[in-house]
Amino acid sequence: MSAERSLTIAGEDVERFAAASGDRNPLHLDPEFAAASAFGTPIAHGALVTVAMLGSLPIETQADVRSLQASFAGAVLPGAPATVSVEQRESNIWELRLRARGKTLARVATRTGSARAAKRDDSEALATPCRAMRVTPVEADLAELGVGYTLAGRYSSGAELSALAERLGAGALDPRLLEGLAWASYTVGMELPGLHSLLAGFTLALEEQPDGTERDDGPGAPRAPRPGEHRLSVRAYDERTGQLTIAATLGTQPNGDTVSAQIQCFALPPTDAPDPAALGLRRAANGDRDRGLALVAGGSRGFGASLALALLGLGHEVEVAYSSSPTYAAQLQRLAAGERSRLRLTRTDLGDPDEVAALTDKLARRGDPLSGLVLNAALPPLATSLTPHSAEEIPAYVAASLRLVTLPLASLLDLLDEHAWIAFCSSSALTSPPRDWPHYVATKAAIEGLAAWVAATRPSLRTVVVRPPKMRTAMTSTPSGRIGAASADAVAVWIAERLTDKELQPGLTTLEPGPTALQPQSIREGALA
Amino acid sequence: MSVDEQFERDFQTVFEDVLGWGVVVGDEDSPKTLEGWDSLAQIRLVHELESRFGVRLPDSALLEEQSVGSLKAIVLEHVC
Repeated sequence: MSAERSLTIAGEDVERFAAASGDRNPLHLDPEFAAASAFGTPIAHGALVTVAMLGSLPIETQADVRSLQASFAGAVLPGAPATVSVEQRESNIWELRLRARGKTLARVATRTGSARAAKRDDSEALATPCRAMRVTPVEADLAELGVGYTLAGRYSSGAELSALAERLGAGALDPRLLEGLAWASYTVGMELPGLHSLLAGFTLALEEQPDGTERDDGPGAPRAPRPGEHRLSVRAYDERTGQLTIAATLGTQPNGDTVSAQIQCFALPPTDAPDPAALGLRRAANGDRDRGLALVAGGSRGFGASLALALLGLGHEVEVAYSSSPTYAAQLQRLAAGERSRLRLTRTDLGDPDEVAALTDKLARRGDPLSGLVLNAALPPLATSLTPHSAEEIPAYVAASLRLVTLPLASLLDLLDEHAWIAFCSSSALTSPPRDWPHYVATKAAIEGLAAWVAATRPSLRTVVVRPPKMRTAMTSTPSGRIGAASADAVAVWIAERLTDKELQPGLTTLEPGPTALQPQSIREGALA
Repeated sequence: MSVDEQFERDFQTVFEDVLGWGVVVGDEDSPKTLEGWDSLAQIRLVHELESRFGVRLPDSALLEEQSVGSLKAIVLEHVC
């Protein structure tokens, strides 16, 4: 038997769950923090998604669930419609799947029946003190997260948790499991690994003492956590992907009944700030400063920020238009150090015609023609597949992304000097398309088409298609994203040197740095040249 | 139970742990045939296989699309 219903997680549900669970990780709550993540926008807590999915189980089954297994494959966005399917796999196993963007984003399996008998705790006695609940997420020290790292602390969810579950149709769920779901979310988002984390899945099980007896762990064994206490221990950590396996126990009854959990999550690498030395900013102090004004559309962080500083280092005056990250814009201004007077940053929504017109007016009033224009603004791609369900979402993404290029291009084209260069930021994804990014690949192809049109209609301009490889930026701050990724600074220096090269010809040029071009010594030579 | 049977059973358990209780996989299965086997699941599968069989698999196993049969071959190559 299989049934399907639609489900949308509301933004208020995310706020309520954050308050009730104590998982106040900014990835769920702070648009600026989320803008600098691989998702680009706040996402719903995986455990909240699980509660909402469990709301699709028949009431009598809900009340009977004693353990569950959840795994998350993609971000669920508040406000975005999804569907949940329910299927009874075996007499005591039910399976729920949440689908959106043509993909299964979450899967939950439940087992009904009786709780597991509590096992003797075999973890080592804990020397760590009992930690109070955190109100801001810790930034885990990755070097400390070895196997055997343990932590004991206090945890309790807020009273509003059951009201939220009721609202989502999961009011019949055992309150201990509900508490366990909130606790798993808190654990990953706030405590281990905390700020830069991603929940991949968990198994939760109720464990009870036979006949409600008092738990006896024997002499010398650690006491099982009591209500309001929890214990975490790292069972596996892999430094290539940041994957962490956590074994965890939450006390639920004074006699030693618990919820036990095996949690799978990832410690995500924080994104590197641009490095002024690698970008050759020092050479600007004694080099040629006569290259005129370059505008970088989309450049407060990531590759755009690196390219802005590299152009500054090569003698351009630089204006950066950015939309979402004032904190990063301030950081970029600081990094420019001695060259900061030649770098201006303007917050502009590049998808808003009025704001783009205001930016254009400001530049026109200054009177100097633009000698360079970088079209780098883009929307972060969320994993998407091409299915009849997602077929309309793909052109919507392409249109919204392309706007961030066509609006500044259309307004600024007439401010360009006759022999100026324009860099259209495409991607090596066009030559080797990633499986989950059909919308991103289609967007970059459209941008390259636009470049070909500009080259044909404005033949005196030096029109450049730039295809950076996979780089260590927010977009690749994912478990596998950093494997084989290049430094954004190295790519920026390589590209900026070619954009400012006097030999760059009018017409269309495609720049795609190969792996050897980005070897560390070529960065050093570039910086000293 | 023979060594081969144990190997098959361990492999099946790893897939159940990552792709879900009750999932049954054959050598021909791949991300194209098994729902939920996406890039994140692939990383979890590879790390689970590494810890269960005590091996370290190459980065390509983490990144490139594999079938169940080809994952088995990669694990066997590194066990021996």
